[in-house]
Amino acid sequence: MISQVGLGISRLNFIPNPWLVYLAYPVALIAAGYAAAAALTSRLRTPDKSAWLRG
Amino acid sequence: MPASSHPILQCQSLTKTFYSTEPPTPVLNGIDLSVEVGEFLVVMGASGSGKSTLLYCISGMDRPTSGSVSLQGRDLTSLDDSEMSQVRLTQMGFIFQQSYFLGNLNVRDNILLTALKAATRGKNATIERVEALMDRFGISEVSRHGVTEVSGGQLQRASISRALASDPTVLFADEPTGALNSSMSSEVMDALSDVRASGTALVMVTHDPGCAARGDRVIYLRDGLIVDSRALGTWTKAQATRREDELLAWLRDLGF
Amino acid sequence: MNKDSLFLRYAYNDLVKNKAVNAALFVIVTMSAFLMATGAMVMERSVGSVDALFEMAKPPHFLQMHKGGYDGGALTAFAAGHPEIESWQVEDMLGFDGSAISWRGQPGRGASGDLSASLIDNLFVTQNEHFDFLLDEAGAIPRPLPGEVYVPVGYRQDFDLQTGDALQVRTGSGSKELTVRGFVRDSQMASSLSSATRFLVSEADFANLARAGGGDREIIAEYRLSDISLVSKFQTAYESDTALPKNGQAVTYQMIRLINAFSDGLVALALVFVSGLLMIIALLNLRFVIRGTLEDEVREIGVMKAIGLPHRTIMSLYLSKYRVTALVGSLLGGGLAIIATRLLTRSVQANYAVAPVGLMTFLAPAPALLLVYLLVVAMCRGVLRAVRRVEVVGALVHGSTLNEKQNVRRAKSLSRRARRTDLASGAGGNINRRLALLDLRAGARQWVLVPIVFALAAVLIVLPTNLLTTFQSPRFVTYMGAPESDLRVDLQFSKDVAATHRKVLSRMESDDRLTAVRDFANLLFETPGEDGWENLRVEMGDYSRGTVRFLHGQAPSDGQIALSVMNAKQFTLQAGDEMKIRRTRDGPTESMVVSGIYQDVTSGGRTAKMQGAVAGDAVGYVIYADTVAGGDPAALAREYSNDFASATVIPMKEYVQQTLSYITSAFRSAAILAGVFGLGVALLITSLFLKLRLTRERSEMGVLMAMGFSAREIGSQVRFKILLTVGVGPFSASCLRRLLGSGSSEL
Repeated sequence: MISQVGLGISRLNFIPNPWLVYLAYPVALIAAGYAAAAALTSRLRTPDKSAWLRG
Repeated sequence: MPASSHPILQCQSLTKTFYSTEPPTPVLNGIDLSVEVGEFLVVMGASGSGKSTLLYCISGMDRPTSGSVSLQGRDLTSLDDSEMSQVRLTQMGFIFQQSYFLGNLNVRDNILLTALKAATRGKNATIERVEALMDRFGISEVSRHGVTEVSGGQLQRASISRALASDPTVLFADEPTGALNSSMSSEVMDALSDVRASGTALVMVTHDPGCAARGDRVIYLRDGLIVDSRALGTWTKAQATRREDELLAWLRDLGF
Repeated sequence: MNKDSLFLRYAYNDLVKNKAVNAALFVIVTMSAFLMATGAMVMERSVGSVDALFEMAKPPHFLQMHKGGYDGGALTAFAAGHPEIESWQVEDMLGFDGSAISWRGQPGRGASGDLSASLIDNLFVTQNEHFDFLLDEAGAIPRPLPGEVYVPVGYRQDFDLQTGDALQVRTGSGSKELTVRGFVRDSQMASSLSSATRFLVSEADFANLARAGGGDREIIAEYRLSDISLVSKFQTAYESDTALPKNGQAVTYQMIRLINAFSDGLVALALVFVSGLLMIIALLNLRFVIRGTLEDEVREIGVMKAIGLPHRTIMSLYLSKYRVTALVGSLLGGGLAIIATRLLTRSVQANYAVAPVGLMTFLAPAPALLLVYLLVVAMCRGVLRAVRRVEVVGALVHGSTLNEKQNVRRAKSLSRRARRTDLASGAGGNINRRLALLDLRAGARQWVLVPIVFALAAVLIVLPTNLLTTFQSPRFVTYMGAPESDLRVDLQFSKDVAATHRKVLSRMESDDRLTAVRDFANLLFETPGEDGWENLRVEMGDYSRGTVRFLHGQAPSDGQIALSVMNAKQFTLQAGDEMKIRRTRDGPTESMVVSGIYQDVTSGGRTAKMQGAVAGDAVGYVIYADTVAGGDPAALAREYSNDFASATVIPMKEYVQQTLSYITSAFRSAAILAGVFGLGVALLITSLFLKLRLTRERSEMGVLMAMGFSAREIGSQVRFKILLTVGVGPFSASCLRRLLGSGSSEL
């Protein structure tokens, strides 16, 4: 698209911020996944465990 | 029954009400019970009498609404989840109607799982012990099989091996023969009777009088209360039929 | 009971039973519909805004800025010789430095300040007569009365100016006060990419300001042509006429238009891309959920089949629910998109005209929403086709969607795997972890959903941020044709350019606040093109100390020439080719080797670079310099600008940041939106997946509890599995980006 506009730019190489791209975002994503897992596994602590056996 | 015994498992004024229903359902209404060292106690009763609930309450799987449960003098109702798990791991064994096994593991690993987790001795000793158990219950030849490849009787004997793998003081069995035909059933009952040879107490819920006749004592539950109990004495193969008939007569009187 | 009410009752019961799962699915579908529609609408709105503005304002097709005196006769002669000119005009302007313009809020507001933070030229003009109108916010052509001024819309946002505020201009003879009467949009300079902006005053005030002095006299020569496609040729003709004024920026209609649409176009594109990813995630999840549902309810399906319900009916039973989900999700997403579009295009609407809300406004997101709906339903249909293959016996006896053969095969493969495991082997390790790993291996087909979703989510989050950081990066100027530097000095055309150049250069070189002073000369060469010899603007200097980045090849050494992308295209040359150039008509022709190709947006994108000494007879000069650590480029730029009136001195990084701030703020919104959505999706999908997974593994977990595993241990197994699978996602995403050439993107 950029090359079509005739501005003189034919390719745009991303200049990523490595801290964000390789650290902050993956950590945030993993944290989100882990948080969901933590929330859902907390429900395992039921007082009556035999209910689990009954499926 | 002699009073001068050594109770290993005791419960007093045990009640359990399920509040998830509307209105709440009282299932156990005050149970006093004690199980002796090495005793084979059978719990009977009609469906909904609370016999399975009793089993899960005294084994610490479910938390009783009130009353106390103690194992070798230790109060179980005050333990937290991890402590209770440790008790189940090292002092209790379970056998269910369906032989619940982990499908990802072969028969041997299913048994080893508990044994290795409970192991206080070295790994090799634990493995030896498990191998011995599998020999004893005749499942060595299928030990590397997947759990879908072996017969129901073999699986139930594997269950018994698993339950014994951590050398428990008491074994709980919930309808262990409920899903088996009669020949497999007696196979499993033979194995269960054998359990007591090592001094492990056994609490079994069943509605099969043939299986119940193997016990030392039978209690009968109705509406969450023990309405009667009957000591049977030591089982021998020779008296099996007579014992069963007597038990049936007693059960009939109770309205079974 | 008829069929429809059966379906509805089924859908309702299912909705109540699986509240969480259905809610999660609904949210995901809504989110992707929302982003899809927003992308479509932002695109339509920004194109619409630009169109509406251009219709009214009639921007020039070619314009040339010029500072200082000029030969008016040459302009008239040029116009007479070019019949393609429809109309032309010369706009007189007075340029004031931002620091010379201050403002004071109306009594009671208490606010005040000046515009010194603005690095671009502030030009005072009167309203044009024929075209290139400055429009007020209502889209009308305002004509200020004496004492009134119309301020660029951008400044209202940047400096919080209001109608009624007082604007003071420091002239050569005292301060002149004007009242802000309103704000104007500037079609030609609206895009902040242009380095100037215009203030509108009355003829009388313009004359006063001119008399008072202190401002730089500048002009724009503006042309509208009969045919827009002639612009490029027209520009060449203009530039080769040496008598014409041209010491400033030249801008073509295409550039004005494209720069304007460019920023919002990129945002819209990013949104569409992100929504596409979200759509894939939504579809994968639907597949997972429906498959799970079918497995869970296989006995019911078996019964329905056994009593003779055709599989079509059973399929529609399940499909009805997803149809409703897709329909409501698409509609809700579309509704939310209207709100979001207003927010995202607020800056567009302020800078440009309000695009008329027409049929297209509503039609633009419609195909996007329809696409979402159709994709969702198609995916559901596809998965639900499995109903047809369900065999009554298999379903009722084994509770399996598979037939006898498949059941046997599955059991066998499970056993085969189980036979190979050996808990007793290995270093022992943590038994919970071993169990988790075994479970992952056995359930890989289900679990693979998690890393895929997280990889997509990672890409989804990273892409808009990469766009943002790219445009914010100091290195971005190298894409625009300038080497990375703190300070850039432009010296063009003026008569004493060579003398000024010498003075500026020697001052800069002896200035101990500056380092790495690099000096380049702009020379005009000629080279053979399609229509004979064409002009070629060449920058000459020493490139051994680094310059722009090269797309292909490298910087020129002696006897070599580097070309901008557009020149390379124009003359169909590649790195390694030979190119003939000559300095003057009838001069000797030299043959140069093309050393490399680079990107450049300056001078219409058509430039070249040659290694050589900086000539004293150049048409212009560029000097780059870096400040020593802790230096203030903006302050230095002001100082040099004051001392050398004919030099344009800009602090590169600040300048680029400011000129691009309008684009970057749009990217920032998109990046934040994508970040929120990415994390939301991650959270949602993990919950959804685990919820279904835990339900399925209930009895296995019950056994583990009975065996003596605590709830904490079982929970830790699950969390371990999630950590592993989730971690693989972003990791593989970054590997993927690496593979694709560090995210090089041929947008």
